[in-house]
Amino acid sequence: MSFAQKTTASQQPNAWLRFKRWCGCRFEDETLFGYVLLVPTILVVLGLIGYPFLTSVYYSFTDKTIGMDASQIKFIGFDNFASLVNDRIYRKALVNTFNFTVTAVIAKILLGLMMALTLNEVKRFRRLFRATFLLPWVIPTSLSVLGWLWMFDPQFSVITHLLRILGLASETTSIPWKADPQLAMASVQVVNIWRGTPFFGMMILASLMTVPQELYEAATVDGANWLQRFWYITFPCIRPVLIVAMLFSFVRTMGDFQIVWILTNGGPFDSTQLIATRAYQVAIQGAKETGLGAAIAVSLFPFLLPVILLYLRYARRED
Amino acid sequence: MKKLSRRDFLRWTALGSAGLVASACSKEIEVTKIIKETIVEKETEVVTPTAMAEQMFGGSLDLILRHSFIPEMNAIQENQLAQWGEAHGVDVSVSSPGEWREMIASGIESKTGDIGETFQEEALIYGDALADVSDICEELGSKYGGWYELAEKVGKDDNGVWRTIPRAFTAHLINYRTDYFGEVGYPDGCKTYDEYLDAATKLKEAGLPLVGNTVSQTGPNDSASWTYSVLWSHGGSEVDENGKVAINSEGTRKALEYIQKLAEVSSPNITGFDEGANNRAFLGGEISATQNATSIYYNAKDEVLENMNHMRYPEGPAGWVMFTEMNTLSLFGHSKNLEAGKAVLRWLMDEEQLIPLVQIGITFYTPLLRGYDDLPSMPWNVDPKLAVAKGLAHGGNVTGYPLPPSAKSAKAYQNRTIVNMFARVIIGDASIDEAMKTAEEDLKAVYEA
Repeated sequence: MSFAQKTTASQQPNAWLRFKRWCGCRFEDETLFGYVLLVPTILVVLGLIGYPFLTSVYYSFTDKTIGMDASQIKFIGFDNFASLVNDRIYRKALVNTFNFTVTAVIAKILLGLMMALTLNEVKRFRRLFRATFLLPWVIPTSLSVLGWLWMFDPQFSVITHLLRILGLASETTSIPWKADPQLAMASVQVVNIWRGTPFFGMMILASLMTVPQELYEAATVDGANWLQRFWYITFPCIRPVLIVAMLFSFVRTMGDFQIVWILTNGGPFDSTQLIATRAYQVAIQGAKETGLGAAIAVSLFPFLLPVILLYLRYARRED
Repeated sequence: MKKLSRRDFLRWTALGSAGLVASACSKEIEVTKIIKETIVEKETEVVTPTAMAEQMFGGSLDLILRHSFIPEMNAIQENQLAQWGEAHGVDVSVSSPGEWREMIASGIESKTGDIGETFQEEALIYGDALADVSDICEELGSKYGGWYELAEKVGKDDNGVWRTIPRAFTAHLINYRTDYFGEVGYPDGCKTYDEYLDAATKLKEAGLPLVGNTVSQTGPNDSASWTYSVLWSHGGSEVDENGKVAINSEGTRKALEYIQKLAEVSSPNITGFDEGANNRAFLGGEISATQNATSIYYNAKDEVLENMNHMRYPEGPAGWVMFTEMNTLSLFGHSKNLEAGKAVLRWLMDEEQLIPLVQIGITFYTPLLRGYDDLPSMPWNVDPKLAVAKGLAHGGNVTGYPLPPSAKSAKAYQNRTIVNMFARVIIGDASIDEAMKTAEEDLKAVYEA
């Protein structure tokens, strides 16, 4: 190479510098840069949510069992779903799931609203109260449900003991918290409500804090009582957040598993059996019918889809 | 490789000292005391590798074993496997989680792990995802006096291939208070279900703690053990010998009538017990009898320990048939270290390794090889309160009886069809006919779909 050629060559940017200049040109476009930053998140979502979901949908149309080689899997169309129609336990689980979800979500809304309105008025030790009220939601589900397992114990229930002290139950009364079908369902709902209320409380409280105080002052001057202030000022302001929280909670509550699994195992006689617990039983335990279990899980999707779409619509409106 | 570290040595010394102090403060089960002072310390000694080495396999083995309520059992197994791994150049890792069955399912599905301790008839469901271990099972049968029939039912597939090694079953016995049962004329327990009902009735009349046999979906294993045994002993069964659903029968009716009468003189909480509630109730003196493995006995102290004993599940009109909880060792077919896997399984099932587990397990692990029955060191030959556990496998069966177990019988078990049939009658949710009819429909959906 001549001296002139060497000099020209040394003045040429090397490959790394050329690459950096190319990236710089691209990333000057903020939109493109934004998408690039999203790539890791998208990969995680696809890997941990998208892939399992699509695999479940695929399995729901097959006769897959645990340990079955991929080459042995047979496509069976809608047979799994058809068999669910005649499955007494599945039908019961579906009804239980809606009963469980609707009751629990309504209760959480009401209690969460009361909690938020109360916390909004608290001036002293505000942070302490808020932290305390948040505890049920923060403690890992399995741990907190173990505590409830003791509280609903047929022999040594602290709730029964308290009722005895208050004179509401005799010394020999034993309340069948987990043996009576209605009481068992009420028990698991109570635990779900206890856990989920702080979520509503905090969401609504955050929304309450953005309501302009001048509105309340003006309403008071105009002679509005507390109910009228709530209905005409507070409620319209918190409604968007309330709807978003309700829809989100609806989806989460429908998929609840741990509370029922630990407390009642779906009993007594499937009266607290939910879709999630039934899917687990069928897919992982028993005959390990992954395909049928996937069909049970996927069968909730048509009910959840409108809820999810509504949620997304209201969440965007909130933005 | 896992050597005995300073931390482990201090831990075992502390445990041993705590054990001695505890035994000074309260009466401890004699057999457990002897075992802790001899077996546990022996099993935690580091054995020099040359004592065991025959072949260096290399590689690794991951084992998923059943978690025992007796911590020493878990510790002994970990130590045994660590020593074997050291001697054979294999990196052995052992996990004993509470949800071991689900972990095994996950391992088989994702083709990870090497060995799992499968439960009941799971090995037959996994089928050819598990390796053929016929050679090991044939050797063990020849060496130790032959397998109980129950072991072959659970271990062999339809083609007669051993897919799993029946390691041991967990003995379920009726734990009962000798003082209370003695007051009503049954100090040595009851031989038949009628005697048991009579004892329960007299206990109620005398104002003594009632019997409390779990019949609850919330306590599935204990409940299945009891309800299946009651059903079979009265001549009922899910299916007949041709595989046709036969639950709606005279035998089932007798079983349900029996359980209805028993429930009237039992604790009102039996349909709400979870797996531990009957233990707590018995240890707290709230009930005078319940079915269970020896976890109650292991935790009993003082007055309860002194005044408790075990009886076998009673005999019914159709004979003595009981539900048996099986633990089997399975080698995954996808294992990359099959040779080492077979070698360690062979070694684990050797009496030198199995005996300490059986001793410390106080019938939580009861071998299914007949040769163990008469060994002097076995818990049933050492502790009079466990004597009834000898030869228990003779009357034992698993799901699907009178047929061999299968995926369908496992599904019916998982649906809790039999447990719920009994529970509904007890709580008055259904009449006997209604309960049988519902069970029949549910079983037909499983067996005849």
